[in-house]
Amino acid sequence: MTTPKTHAKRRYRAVHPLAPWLFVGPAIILSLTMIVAPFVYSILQSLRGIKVAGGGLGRREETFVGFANYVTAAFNPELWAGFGRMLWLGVITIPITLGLALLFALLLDTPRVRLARFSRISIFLPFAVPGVIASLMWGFMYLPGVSPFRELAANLGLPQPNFFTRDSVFWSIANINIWGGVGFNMVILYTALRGIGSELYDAARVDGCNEWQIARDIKLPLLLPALVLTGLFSLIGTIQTFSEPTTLAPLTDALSSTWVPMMLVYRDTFVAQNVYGGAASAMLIALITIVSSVVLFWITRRRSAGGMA
Amino acid sequence: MTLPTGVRAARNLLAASFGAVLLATPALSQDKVELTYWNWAPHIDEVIAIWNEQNPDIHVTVSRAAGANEIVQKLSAAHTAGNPPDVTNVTYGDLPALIVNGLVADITPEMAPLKDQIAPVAWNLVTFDGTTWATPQGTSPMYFFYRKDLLAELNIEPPKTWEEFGAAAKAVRAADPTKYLTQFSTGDAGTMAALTHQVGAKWWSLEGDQWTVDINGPEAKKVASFWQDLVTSDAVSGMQAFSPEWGAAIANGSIIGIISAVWAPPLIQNLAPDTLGDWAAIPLPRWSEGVGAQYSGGVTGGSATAVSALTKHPEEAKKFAIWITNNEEALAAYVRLMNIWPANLEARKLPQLQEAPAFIPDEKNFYQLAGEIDAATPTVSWGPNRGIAFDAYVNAMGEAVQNKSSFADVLDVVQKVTFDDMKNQGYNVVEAAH
Repeated sequence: MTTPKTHAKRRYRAVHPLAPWLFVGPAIILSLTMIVAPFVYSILQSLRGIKVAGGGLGRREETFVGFANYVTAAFNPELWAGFGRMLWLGVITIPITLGLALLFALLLDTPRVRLARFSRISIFLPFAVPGVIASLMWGFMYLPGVSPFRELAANLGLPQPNFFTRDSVFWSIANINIWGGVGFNMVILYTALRGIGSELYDAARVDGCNEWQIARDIKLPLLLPALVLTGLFSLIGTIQTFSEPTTLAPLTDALSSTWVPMMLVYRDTFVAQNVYGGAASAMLIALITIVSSVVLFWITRRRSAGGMA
Repeated sequence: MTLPTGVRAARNLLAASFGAVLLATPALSQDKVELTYWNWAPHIDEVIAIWNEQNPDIHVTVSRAAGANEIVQKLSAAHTAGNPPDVTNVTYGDLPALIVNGLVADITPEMAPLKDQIAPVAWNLVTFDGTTWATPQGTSPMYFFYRKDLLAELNIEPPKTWEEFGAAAKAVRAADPTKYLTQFSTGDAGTMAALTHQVGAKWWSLEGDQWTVDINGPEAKKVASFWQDLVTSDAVSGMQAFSPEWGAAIANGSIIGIISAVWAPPLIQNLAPDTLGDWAAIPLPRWSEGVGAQYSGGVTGGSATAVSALTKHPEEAKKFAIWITNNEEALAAYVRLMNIWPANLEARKLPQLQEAPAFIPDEKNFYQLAGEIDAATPTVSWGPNRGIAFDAYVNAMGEAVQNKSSFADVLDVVQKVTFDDMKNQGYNVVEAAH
């Protein structure tokens, strides 16, 4: 390690060759130990498998199986059915989450807005609730017998909604995601809006723009990079959907233990005691995440040049 | 309850975190052995306090590191990392998975002298092909618990056979549409397994080194179809047991009865404390004809104590494991705090097991009945992939209820998934011929 003192002496010379490494070092070490190493370990795990040696309660032993786990995972209809369900969930969740986040961000950014701070905090607050807690809470509100919504409907003489059919459960889970996700995305978009110079608005107003036109023709185009970013976060978040359906599954027969791909990985790894198959499925999911992120970037790159994209 | 002082608590914490380090440096614990013990039960530390008082040279530190349903994952991880607990509690259903993964020690010689003292149904759950892998804590005699006040109000006799049970379920609905006799939970594979044990189904059995999987026999399918009729006709509720909804239904009397085991009274008390004295407990209904009419119930839960294959103190660990499952004082505390029904036959003579449980004071013969039900419970084994079988059941049964398709077919699915998985893993396995 070089001490700061030596740096002071060399102030007018070329940068010490170690200096850049000192700056990026912590990030590199963290990503090597926390991301790269487990990733490599999972790849190695995914190439191995279990064979029982000996008789009835023979020992399970690790063997090298090559790509057999990948073949099994790729031909597992349950994994792809899970992807289908995940996709449908994303189709419901992402546009509504981003649409609401955008709407709230634009509303908060209008001049003469009342209660701005209070609204901002109350919209953001659900994001601070961990997914599992939020799911338990909503699960309670969905369950027939304890659901306040069903009680309300009954008191108003309306048909009671069933939140846990094979179809409605998508909307029930999407609702939890939206409730928890709007605030976070709104803060990103709002922050991006605050970064837009006010001279643009002044010029627009001189030209006779009203607030609606300003929002549509100035704010929205300038927000595109931030929208791409939040879109990417939402996409990755959707692929990683796990805690909501996992928490709700014991409450209903509408959710299987392999409802989304991540649940299947968990089931294979921990319930079926097959770390190796789980690792292979996880690698497939990672691959799909990376590919879809790159594709998203590639599609949106030309429209949102520069900035964050 | 003896609360450890701050210093002792801190030391226990240190011992738990650095158990491996401490064990590796005998200089620190010259003439004192430190054992770590995993158990998820709420009052277990009070039982451990008795041991530590009596055995100053073998100190046990209890940790609630893992719940009952995650013990296999966490033990496997700790074992791989090289620092598993010396002794652990494990459900009977999870034990085979621990054995095949090489996590637990063979305790056959230490257990042999105890064999005559232990209920056969429990002995069979920890012994495979002559080797004993854990020491049984309790057994699970099954009862039908019901609100006698509500049944009397509706003028319905408590059912003695399953036929009467089905009729009673329908009669409850006819008399009061806000109430159900009981619920059928798609998520409860354990209860379905137990109900099929009653007709002689043995989901797994091991002869020599050959496994037989027998989940979808005609008798078992009859049980599934019986419940399908009740579910599709809305004669039983479809809510999931142990959900908040179910808890509320038990509390307000819209669920009248529960199929459960000997440890249910305190659980019901937690949910519905003001129904003290309103509940009755009778043996499960029986099938009036055919195979299995002789069996009073199935095997549904319970746990055993196992010693880690990696423990550095096998002698002390085995001594402690046997103490906590067979010592009179330990079991007295266990019964008082956790309402178990001991597997050790001697312990069943404990004074507190001669009277009714506090929550059902009228059931004077409750524990006497437990012994009788136990004796009439078939001996079954769980298999090494019980987790997969139960998972397949829950998914397929959820599907069947949602799609209103056949429950008997669900057992076919579970049979196929379980058998195929064992075959793939390389077990010597066959399917039962029907």
